Amino acid sequence: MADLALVPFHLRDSGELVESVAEHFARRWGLAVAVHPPAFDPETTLDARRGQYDAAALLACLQNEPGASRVLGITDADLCMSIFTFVIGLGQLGGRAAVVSTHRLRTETVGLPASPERLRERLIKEAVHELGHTLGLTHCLDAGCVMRSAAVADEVDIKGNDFVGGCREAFLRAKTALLRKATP
Amino acid sequence: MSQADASILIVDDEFSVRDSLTHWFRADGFRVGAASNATEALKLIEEGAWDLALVDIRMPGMDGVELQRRLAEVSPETVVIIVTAYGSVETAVQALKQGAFDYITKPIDPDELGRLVQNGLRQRRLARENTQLRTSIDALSGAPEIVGESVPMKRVMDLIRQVGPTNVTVFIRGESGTGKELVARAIHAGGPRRYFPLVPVNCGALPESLLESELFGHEKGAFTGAQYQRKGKIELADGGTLFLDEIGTVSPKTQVDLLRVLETKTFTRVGGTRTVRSDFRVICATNQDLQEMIDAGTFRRDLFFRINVFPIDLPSLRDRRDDIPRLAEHFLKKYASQMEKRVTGISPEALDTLGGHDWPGNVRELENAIERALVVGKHGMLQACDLPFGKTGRADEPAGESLADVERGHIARVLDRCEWNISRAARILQVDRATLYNKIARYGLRK
Repeated sequence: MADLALVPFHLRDSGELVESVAEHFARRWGLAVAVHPPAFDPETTLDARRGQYDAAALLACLQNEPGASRVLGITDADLCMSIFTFVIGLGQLGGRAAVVSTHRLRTETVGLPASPERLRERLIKEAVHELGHTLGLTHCLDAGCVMRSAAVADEVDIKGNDFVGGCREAFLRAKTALLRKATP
Repeated sequence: MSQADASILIVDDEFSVRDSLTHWFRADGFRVGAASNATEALKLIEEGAWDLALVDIRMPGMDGVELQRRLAEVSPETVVIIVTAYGSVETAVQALKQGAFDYITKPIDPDELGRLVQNGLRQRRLARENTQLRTSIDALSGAPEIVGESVPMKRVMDLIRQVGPTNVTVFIRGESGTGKELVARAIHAGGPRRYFPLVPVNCGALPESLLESELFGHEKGAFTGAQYQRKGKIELADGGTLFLDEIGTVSPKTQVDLLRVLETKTFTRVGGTRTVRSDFRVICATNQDLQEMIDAGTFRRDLFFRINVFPIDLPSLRDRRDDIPRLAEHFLKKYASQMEKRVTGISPEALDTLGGHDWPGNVRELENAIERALVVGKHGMLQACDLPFGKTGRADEPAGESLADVERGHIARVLDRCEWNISRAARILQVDRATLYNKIARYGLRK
């Protein structure tokens, strides 16, 4: 069983982006990463009135995806929650599923030219961040830590791409447990 | 308050909202509680303190506005943010008028929520710090201890209690050393301005030109040496109390300026043109007979009427002899503790001596006498011979010493007892430090 399953859906440039994320988790953190399409229909999570996808509903679907200890959905779809106008990503704290959207991470969203490199950096940071939540990590106040909360893309740019201090220790502990669990 | 220490209570009848926000704030490291209605919320508030509450405005039963009103009564320190649906902003405004911190509309912009919660928690932290500081200030600057059980002093203390909480101008009259500044501090400490400074100005200590600058401040270049703008005592007393001691010594010109300031609470700095406003309470004090000065034309009648609103007459120590033993014990404890001396009390003979003295310098003289006696005394109990006007105990000593010998010996003894603390020795000898240094040099005294 893989440590982490990446589940892309409604995603442009899917191949390159997902590959970058998978490579990061494999090389940087030594995780066994699998990539597969969703076993559920993402349209069931569409909030037609708002034209956005319900992140909480997506997590409920993703946590039933088979084949890995943790599941991370990656999508271009704009995510929201019943209470929030939008979210960049959402992860179950100490749970199994997380989801990240590139919708508000793309530079085109704010009228700038497309920047695949910037998008890749942002997506990896948020993917690591949401995986951190599934491993029980909460938000960090350290601006250099990837677990720093970011509500908008600019804040994603500002924060670091790695775990810092206590978050690093907590992540490594949780990751070791995850690897042990995944190893038969 | 770090996020880990902060707690947030979510009150919303919709499960999905409670669930989402709980998840959101837990991810931020907050301690989170959730209630589906106002009654549940009040129960949670009863069980423990919450720093911030996010309250949905529309709930079955008691609505968010009513809950906010109840919270203001039972848990005023909890910062309340109202969550409202788009279109019910008017109701949210009603909650704001009742003291809610802010409101946010559903669906919530997560960026805005983050800022709002941080601002709300900052206010909570400031309020908590403010309470702690006020407690510290109350402990540090509470009313000074006024010692006295005699009838005249009881009357003075009644007057202090009456006038303290008001904003009325107080005029303290009393001989030198009767404790006019102490009474001024007690009045200030008993009023609403106690968290602001009490600024004392000894009007008699400064020549006219300096007093003017001291009171009103000056602009840069107002006179030779005025290299910087400087705020005056009146400006520094903004919000607090201005204590004008020895008001009778103020020159006629400054009396005019003072009268204008006391009437308008506005003034201009020396060398300036801009009007400066200061909100202060005035307490004046004098040991002079201002009525006589008015008759002699040296004090303005209109200024007198302005300051003589609530007069307090302090009795001389001669007129409150009953308080002498109590005061002596008070100063004995104070200085014995400062000097780390073990003195158990005052002998009956010393008390008799204290009671029989005329005390022209009043309580200040008594305080100095006790301090001096502690320095020179060698006994476990303060004796009459330790007092400056008591029996010297040296009647049998050979006469024939010159005045200079006596002075030299006395200075040397005091310096030894004070461990060569020049300030303390000068105070006991009732000379200034410069004079004491001159005498040390003249008599060739060494440590």
